[in-house]
Amino acid sequence: MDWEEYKTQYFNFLEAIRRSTVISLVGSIILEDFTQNLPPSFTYIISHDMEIIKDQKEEQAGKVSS
Amino acid sequence: MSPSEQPEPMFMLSYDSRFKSELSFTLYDVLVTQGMMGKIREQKDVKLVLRELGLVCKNVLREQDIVMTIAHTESFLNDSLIAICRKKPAIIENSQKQVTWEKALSHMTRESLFEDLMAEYIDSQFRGKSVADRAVYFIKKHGLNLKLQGDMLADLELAEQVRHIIMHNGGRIDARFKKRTGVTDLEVGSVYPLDDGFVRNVALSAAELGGEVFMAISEKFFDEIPPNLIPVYKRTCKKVDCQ
Repeated sequence: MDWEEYKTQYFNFLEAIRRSTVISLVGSIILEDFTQNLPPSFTYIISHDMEIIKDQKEEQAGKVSS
Repeated sequence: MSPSEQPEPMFMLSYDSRFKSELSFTLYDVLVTQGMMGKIREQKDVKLVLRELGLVCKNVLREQDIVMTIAHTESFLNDSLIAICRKKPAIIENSQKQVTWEKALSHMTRESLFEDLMAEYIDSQFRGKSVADRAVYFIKKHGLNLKLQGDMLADLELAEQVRHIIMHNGGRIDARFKKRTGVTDLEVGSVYPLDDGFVRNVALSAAELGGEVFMAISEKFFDEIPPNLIPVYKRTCKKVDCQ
């Protein structure tokens, strides 16, 4: 291995560390924005989940009363 | 160029609806696996739950960062020892170790045999050693002149222990972690709280250690004295403050 090759490995290492940090930071920014301005797709999923639970509860209540 | 024509920074670009949809499903999965849907169903405080969800997800991002940083550092230290061995093959010579005829004949060339022996040598030198131990190994075994700052190795040692619980215990603290790190104020079973300050310091420590190793090996084994390529970073805070 010559020095140029080793130097390239060093720069690749530095770039990998920076990339990892940037992904973490950008991810945090996107999450912050996302949880503060929930898109319709998310509220739809939540409300859909709530509907299913509501139906299940009503179904169970019906079975108990009958 | 008028202000309206200024290009937006990359992270300010609005992400598309498909991405939002995928993120929605992923976050919903996190809500379910973290048992947070119960709280939403009870309609206690949706905003509070979402805030909690944001914190959980941010911790996951920081965990990814720690895992990758330690992995890249281990990998670069490995590459550094390979660089030394290739430059000075005599380093792996050992009169105590023997090669079987079978192994010697399984290699078509001397280079191939050397690569095999070198891999064995590196494994024997680094097996079970932490990143900090490997740095000390370079100083003691190969006489590298490394300037190891106090916080540098401490940050990396703690990060390595955190990496261990992330990989083996879902990021939750166990008795082994408490014993090895001396952390006493966190309960066994709780998720180790990572903050941006600590994660940043770990990245800086990794970059600084890599830079020290690279500079010292360049000078000692390659007779190259590069300009100072160690990134000059400023720590955001001391380790203790970041906890």
